Amino acid sequence: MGIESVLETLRRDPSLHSQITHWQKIPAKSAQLADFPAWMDEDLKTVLRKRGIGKLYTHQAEACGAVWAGDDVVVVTPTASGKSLCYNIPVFQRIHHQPEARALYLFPTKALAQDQVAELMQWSDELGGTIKTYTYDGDTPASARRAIRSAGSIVVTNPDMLHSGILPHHTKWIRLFENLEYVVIDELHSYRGVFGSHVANVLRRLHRICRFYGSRPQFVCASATIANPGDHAAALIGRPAVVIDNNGAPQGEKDIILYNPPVVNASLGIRRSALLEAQKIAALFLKDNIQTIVFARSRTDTEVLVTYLRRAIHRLGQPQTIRGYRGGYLPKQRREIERDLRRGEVLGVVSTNALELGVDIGSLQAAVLTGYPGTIASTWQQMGRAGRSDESSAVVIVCNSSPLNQFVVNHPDFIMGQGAERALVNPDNMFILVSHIKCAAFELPFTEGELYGGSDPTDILDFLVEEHVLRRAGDRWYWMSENYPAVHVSLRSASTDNFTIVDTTNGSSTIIGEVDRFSAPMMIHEGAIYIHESSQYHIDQLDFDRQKAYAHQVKADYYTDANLAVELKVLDTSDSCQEGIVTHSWGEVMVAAKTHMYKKIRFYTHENLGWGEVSLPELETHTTAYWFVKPTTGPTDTEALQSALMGAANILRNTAPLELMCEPSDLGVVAQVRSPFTQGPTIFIYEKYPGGVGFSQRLYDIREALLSRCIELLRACPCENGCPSCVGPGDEVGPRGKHAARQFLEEALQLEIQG
Amino acid sequence: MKFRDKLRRFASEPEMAKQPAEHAAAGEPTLGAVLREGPAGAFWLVETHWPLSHIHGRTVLGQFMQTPGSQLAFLAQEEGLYGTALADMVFLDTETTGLAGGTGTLPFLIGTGRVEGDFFLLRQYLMRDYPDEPAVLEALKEELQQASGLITFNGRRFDWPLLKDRFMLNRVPLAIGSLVHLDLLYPARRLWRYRFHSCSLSSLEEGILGIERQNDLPGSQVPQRYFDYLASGEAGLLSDILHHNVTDILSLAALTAQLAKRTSLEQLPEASAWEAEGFAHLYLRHGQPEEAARFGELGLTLNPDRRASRRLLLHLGRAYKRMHLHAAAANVYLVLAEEFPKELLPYEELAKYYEHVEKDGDRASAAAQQGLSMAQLQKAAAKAEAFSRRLQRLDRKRHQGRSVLSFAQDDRDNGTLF
Repeated sequence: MGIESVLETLRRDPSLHSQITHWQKIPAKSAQLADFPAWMDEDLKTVLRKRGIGKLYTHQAEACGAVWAGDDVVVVTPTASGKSLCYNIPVFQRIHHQPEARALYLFPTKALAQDQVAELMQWSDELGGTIKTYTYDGDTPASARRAIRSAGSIVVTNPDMLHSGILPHHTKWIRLFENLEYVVIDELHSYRGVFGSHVANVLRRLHRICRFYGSRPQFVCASATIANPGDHAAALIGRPAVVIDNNGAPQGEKDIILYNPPVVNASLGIRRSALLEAQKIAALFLKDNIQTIVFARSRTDTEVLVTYLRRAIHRLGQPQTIRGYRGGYLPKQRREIERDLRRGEVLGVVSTNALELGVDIGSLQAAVLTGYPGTIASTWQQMGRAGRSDESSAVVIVCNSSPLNQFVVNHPDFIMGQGAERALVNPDNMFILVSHIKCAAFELPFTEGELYGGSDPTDILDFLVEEHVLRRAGDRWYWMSENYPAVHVSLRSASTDNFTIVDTTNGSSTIIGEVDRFSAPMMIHEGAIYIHESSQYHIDQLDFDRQKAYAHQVKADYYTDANLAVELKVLDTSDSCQEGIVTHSWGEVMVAAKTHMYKKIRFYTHENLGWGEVSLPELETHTTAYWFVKPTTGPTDTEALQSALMGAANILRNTAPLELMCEPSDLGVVAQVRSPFTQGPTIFIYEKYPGGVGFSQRLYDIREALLSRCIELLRACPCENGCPSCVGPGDEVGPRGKHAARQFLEEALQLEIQG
Repeated sequence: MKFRDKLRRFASEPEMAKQPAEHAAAGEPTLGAVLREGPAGAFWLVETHWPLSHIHGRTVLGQFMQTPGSQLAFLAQEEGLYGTALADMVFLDTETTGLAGGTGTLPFLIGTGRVEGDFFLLRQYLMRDYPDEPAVLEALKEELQQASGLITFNGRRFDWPLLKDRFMLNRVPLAIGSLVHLDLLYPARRLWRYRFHSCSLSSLEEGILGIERQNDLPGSQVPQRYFDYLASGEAGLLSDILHHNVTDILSLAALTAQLAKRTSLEQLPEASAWEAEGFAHLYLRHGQPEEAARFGELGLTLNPDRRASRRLLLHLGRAYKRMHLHAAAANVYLVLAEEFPKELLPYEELAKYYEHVEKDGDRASAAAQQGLSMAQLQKAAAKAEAFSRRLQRLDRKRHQGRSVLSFAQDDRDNGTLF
């Protein structure tokens, strides 16, 4: 029994084994240990010894040493390698001796912050209770806030609260800011893209406030594995950081298996559901009593899997053996599940990526990933949940039929070989930068000659004076508005700009879902059929200004397909280069999207049942894009060119997120047969966030890898004329779309054209 | 592309593009302001002397001085007022660039008022522009250090924390320990919250002080007016703000006098039932049932409306009960049950009274039964449950035929009633 017998089944059972595209064994690694640092207090050592810690792992010792020496540090190690000791030891040591010293801990979510505080409070109690640790977030009762402001030695919060609740009221936090010695930022890798660009600016504002109160805190960051931890930390904290990545934690042997569900319809490229396959494989482990975590891609999938697995395992009177875990569960319930996982009382847990972050659930023996999580970094985080120091463990990644997944399952090197992605931020995105300069000016007037984020903000400040938001008087710029700017700036911009869908069936008014601003005209225009958890809703009204759609439940035999017309205009080319006949560029563009009409399409037969008009405002976005133009050689068949461009654009849209550590929905593509700007056939990949957050420039930099990746994927895809896993279904891109797209891309890379 | 164009495209918001409003009658500045200069800079000081005999609305301005602080201490629930003379305190009200709070809110005008000789001296510290702030704060500090306390309206939550932040932000050390602070909002709410729902200064001016502001600049327009002044440099734009602030401070003084007058409510011809209710409630909360009863009885003689009657009777019943005047309390509850049959408390109290004091199980059951029916009618499940438990117990008591006396000992009401 045990994990070996399950692995044996996977090897022997032909129906399973034939679907495995890659099997890799990662050898065991023993712990590398170091003594407690000499400067560490006996009291503190006792606290650790009580937890069975008599020595540190080498990375912990090295990190503690660097922090103690005064460096800004970023620790990069896998899940469950004891990252928190890297910052907790120096912080506790310091505050234990200097009770006036303060530390600020930032976690991306409230749940993580609360977890951490429970642990910190225990340490504090054991050290005599002098080190006061509090969470400060939206849930903190008003009555407790005053005490936290003045007496909290360690304040644990999230970037949103720092942004809108703490920095704009810094005078109330004088004790914290005057004595702030450490800023701890855990889960650093989660601050990327738009969110990361905002957080970098919040930290710039934090620096300003600290300077005002005469403190200069050290930054201690911890991150999952990413390709550029040092650069990423530097971009966020505005100072170079020492990278510590010599993981000394022990690791048992681990088998990593890539699994591709069988094809059920070859011509359409449809595979068996990854959910069902994952369920089957997870059941193998669970039936053998192996503690297993299953990662699902959505909350619904989580619940479905729990139901299936409970049925499959079927232990009478033990319904708690399989648990679900996701956002939306009550904190108390989550704590209980975490505890039972640590104690081994829960055998299997199905989770969204909620358990990818640093919640302590101990180490499990097997992990099943339902679908590629979207980034290499997340994949390693999730895989890291399985793996004990003294036992072997196994991970099975069950891929689905999306292009990303199909690429991953056929290119094991993508995960196993190369390092993780780069985390990208662009704190100088004009839109984000100006928002935060307003917030900063609200907090403290800007003084002539003062730098913000290392550069001179005078132009922006003068601009804001013209906009009557700031006032220039003497050598300063003052906030001159009744508004409280932080309220109008959301760090997680996507969420505030979402449209909610309200179900009004039978006089109720329940919010059933959200779509982002860009998708709203497509998905929830009046007359649309919106499908949510396999129920259909007819959209009766779309209140565009209030960002609400009202719907009622229906049973229709059709779905709707809206036609989105996207126009893209180049405003400015930032950089450009010629490679062969192809010109690559990136720069600023204006994207205008408008939905004019929609079609009603009958299920299964796909016959057109009629159409309706949509009258919604055009959405304009100024953003950045990467594009390339490949002039036509010889006579042109416009139709063929059209389908080549469309197919190539589709596959680029699907492949680019692999390189960028972003969501596919962060990007859009436009293909123009004859672009008014470039005068030739052009494909644009643009960022949906106004101003862009650096993705376009990155795509420009890695253009060759990007195009090669697309060609590889096309060559490997077993479909005949295009499928959802590559250029899109054949009836969308035309019968020769796949071939034409491949030819187009190969020519663009000047490759020898194959077959 | 030009940087400025880029900024405009990315960052311009329609709501930001506010142009300064046109003001037809800006005219010459007639603020009566004097430039005050000191080491920390300069600012405009506007001083006006008001005779103590000046009548603001229907109140003589100097009237508040005649009240010892201790007289207001209980109503205001401010310990510090015992032993403080109101004449030594300073009235304070600020005008700010916004109400949102946070360090970006500037109190550009700080008005104070205090007694000096035969006059009420009203001082307005006005910032010509942002850089004047440190000088204003230095001067204000001087004035505050001489005063023995502060009188404001909502200053506990707004003006004073804001000023403390400004002192901090401008690094002007405020060597004032714990300041006696009379925030008139709280005593005003105790007396008038049911009469004037919002209890805002303007509703009190209208209802209590007899002041109707003419051509007053609404508070909500103050920030934009100051921004308009900053943009145009037209000092005349500020006169409306100064005037608004003067009225505020005079009203604070008048309101203090009116509140003080209410502390001897019995002698006050214009006393109202609601004011009596306020005192009854306050005394009840602070464990003085005799006083509460006195004000409850007084209130009932002052032509209370139905809502006031109800509350007065409830206070009175509770006060009598605490004074162990059980029969009197029962009478009050009988009236309540008669007049306000939807109120559940009287049935409960009457049931207790009949059971424990009158030892009359039948009448106790009858009262509890009435309570139960009413609770069921109102779908008040918890209350209904309590009434039916009481009924069952009364029933059991009768059936077991045990002496009533022995029951008193295991009765759950014991602690609460006797």
